[in-house]
Amino acid sequence: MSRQELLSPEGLRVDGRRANELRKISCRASVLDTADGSAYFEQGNTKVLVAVYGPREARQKGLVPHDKALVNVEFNVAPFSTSERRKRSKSDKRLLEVSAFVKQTFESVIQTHVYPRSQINIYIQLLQHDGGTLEACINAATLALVDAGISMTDYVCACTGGFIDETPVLDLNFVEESSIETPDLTVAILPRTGKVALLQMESRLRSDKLEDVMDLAVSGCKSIHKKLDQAVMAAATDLSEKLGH
Amino acid sequence: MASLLVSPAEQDYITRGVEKGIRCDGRSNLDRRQVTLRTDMISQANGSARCRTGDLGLGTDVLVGIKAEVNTWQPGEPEDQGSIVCSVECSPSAAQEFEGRGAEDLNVELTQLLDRILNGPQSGIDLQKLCIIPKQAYWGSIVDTLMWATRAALLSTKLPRVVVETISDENGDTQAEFDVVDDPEDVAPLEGADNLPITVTFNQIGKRYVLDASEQEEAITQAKITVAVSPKREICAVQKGGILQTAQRVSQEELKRFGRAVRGGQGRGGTGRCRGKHRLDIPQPVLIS
Amino acid sequence: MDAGASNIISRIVTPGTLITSDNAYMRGHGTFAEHESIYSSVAGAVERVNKLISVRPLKQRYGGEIGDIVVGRITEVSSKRWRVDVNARQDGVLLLSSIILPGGIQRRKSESDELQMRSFFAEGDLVYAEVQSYFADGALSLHTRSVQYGKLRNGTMVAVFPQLVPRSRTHLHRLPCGVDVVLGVNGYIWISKHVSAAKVEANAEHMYSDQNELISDEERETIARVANCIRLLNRMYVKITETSINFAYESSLPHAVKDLLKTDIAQELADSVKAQLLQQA
Repeated sequence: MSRQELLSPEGLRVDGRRANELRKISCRASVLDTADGSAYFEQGNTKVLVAVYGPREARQKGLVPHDKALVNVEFNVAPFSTSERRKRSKSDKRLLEVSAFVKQTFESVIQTHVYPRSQINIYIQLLQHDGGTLEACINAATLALVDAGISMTDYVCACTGGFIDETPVLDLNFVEESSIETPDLTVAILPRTGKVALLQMESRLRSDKLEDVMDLAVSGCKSIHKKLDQAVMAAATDLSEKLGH
Repeated sequence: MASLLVSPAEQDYITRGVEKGIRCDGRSNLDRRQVTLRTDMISQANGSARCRTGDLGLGTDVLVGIKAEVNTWQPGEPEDQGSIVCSVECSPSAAQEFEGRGAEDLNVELTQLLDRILNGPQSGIDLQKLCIIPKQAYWGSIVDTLMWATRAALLSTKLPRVVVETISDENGDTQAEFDVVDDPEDVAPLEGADNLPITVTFNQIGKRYVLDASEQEEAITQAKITVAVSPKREICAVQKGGILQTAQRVSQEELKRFGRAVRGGQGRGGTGRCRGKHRLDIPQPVLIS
Repeated sequence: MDAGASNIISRIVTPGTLITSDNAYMRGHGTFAEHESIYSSVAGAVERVNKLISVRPLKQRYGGEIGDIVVGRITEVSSKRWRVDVNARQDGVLLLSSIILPGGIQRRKSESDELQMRSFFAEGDLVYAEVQSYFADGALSLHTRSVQYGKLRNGTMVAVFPQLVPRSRTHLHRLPCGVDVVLGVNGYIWISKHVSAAKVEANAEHMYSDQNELISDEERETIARVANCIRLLNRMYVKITETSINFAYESSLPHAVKDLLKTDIAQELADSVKAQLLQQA
């Protein structure tokens, strides 16, 4: 198979975006009624549903530290989410890796010491996969945690960056991500302080280009932060009005 | 499933309510909640549907995706037909009890039931390999919601056209080859999908039965029975038991009553005890597209 | 961004928002301090009491206060104590010494009481209690040392957002339609057949019985109607008080009980309740 043209001579990508353009994002909080907090998040054709339960009495009492909450993450992929149907076991290494990344990322912003001996469960369900799974999971989890009213020192916003034909590109889709030559960098930042919460890269990238790709991904994170904050603000204002504050 | 706690006083209140035909949300024993269907929501699937039982966010939610795959024939399989592969997964985002391996038993049970209903002449489908993978939010009464969603998803399924060509090689032997036409417009619906059955599940509480049980009712159910009926009023599958180990025996007499109740699905009959007074009303789902 | 007191309050903020850099203020719930400034840690409205600044999230699990009236469900029976789900971040604790023992308030607990704790409260039982104090780890300590508290019978429970149930002096109401409701500030609401206080006292011997009274069909209908009214108020995010429940009940009478949970009817009723509440205020 011939190598697919990922960037046209006019500078357009396979889905018609420019190099520094994000995919369309739409999101909504409080979508599930059984959970304490929940969010539905779409980034292009990648669709994620997150439910947050807690903080509540810990079920795995042995694992819970006495002075802070235990954060537990489970990531599931719907078998119809990818183009090829495949049943994944719950112990699939890729799934466990995503859970571990999300857990580590949020342990640094959730004020776990406010909830001693409690447990916070984050359940992530991937409904449709079109690249950028990790970034979508993190963004959706942020929204669901805020919806659950869990104390956090900051948002966590994630975005990917890549490098195609000497050009840094933002927010890779599945086709771009699966090309072997395209480096795929996922960055998660804490927008208030600008600190980096997560950095992960696949494939290879010339070291002098890292900064450019990183800068672009961080700018993507900032745009996503704006979107998330707008969604949170709208939901909070709506509830506040309903309550007649 | 991990148990939902119900106090003895609540259990007594629910059971006596069912005896009198007044349930905790004001429904009578054979009332169902509103069923809402929405199709074609997953672009990567050949067909998909979401079904919700109950309004105002109080209910069960099922998402079904149908994928068509061309499969190679294995010795021992029927030579001229495809099959339907079912897989049901209960996501922990729907109910905490489904975390980790918590939903495994339920997944297996629902998958088997779906398989029994869909694979065979009773479903009316005879085609290439299809896969069905629902995901759901749980609030009582899973099976029926699952079946509504599956039926709608199969009905919305569009298969790409397949071109079969016969090629002769130099020895004069002929060989059949096929191509799957890669054109989103050139598709056909699944043949026979409108003959698909739906299911009706009865939960026994005390001495009587309810339709479309709530989560609490499900928790104190002593036995339950699921009957699949086709639009031609044929009974396509029956399953008794359920998730609970406490399931009791269902007498033959009661089974006959279910038969009557199900046949009454179009308006006649009812369960034995309330025959003539109540009709089994299967509401038409509201379609949103 | 040194905000004065007036524009600090009732502003909606999101996590990580700077509330004030004025170090005259103290940080309360829903905030954290960094570099002598106070930031919000949740999404909600800023509140100020004297020098204490807090942010009240619009949705959160129940955070207990001493003196709160709650409805809880027993989750575990252990040595000399029960654990009780009160919709909080940890299960509450009900000590054997914090309940009335059958045989009178004055009776002291004996060893045989410790052996028959399940005959008082077993897993799954619903209990009407008051928050007495906190444990060191933040768990709530409950007590039922009053005749009106104790085991709940003769009805059904509805769970709502705890933010919708305001704290007030009384939480046990006898509604004009004849049923009793216990509005637990933790968001668990108990709706039951009315049993007079005199009868409760006369039956003190059976205070831990699981036996319901006889409940008529009309009473069941009314309980179901009140329960559905509370469910719809919750879904439409209307404050749940004796008044709002009564308004919803009255407005709902033209509809069948089972229809109250249909979106359009629920919306119409919620709007009508809001209009009536406004008119009253």
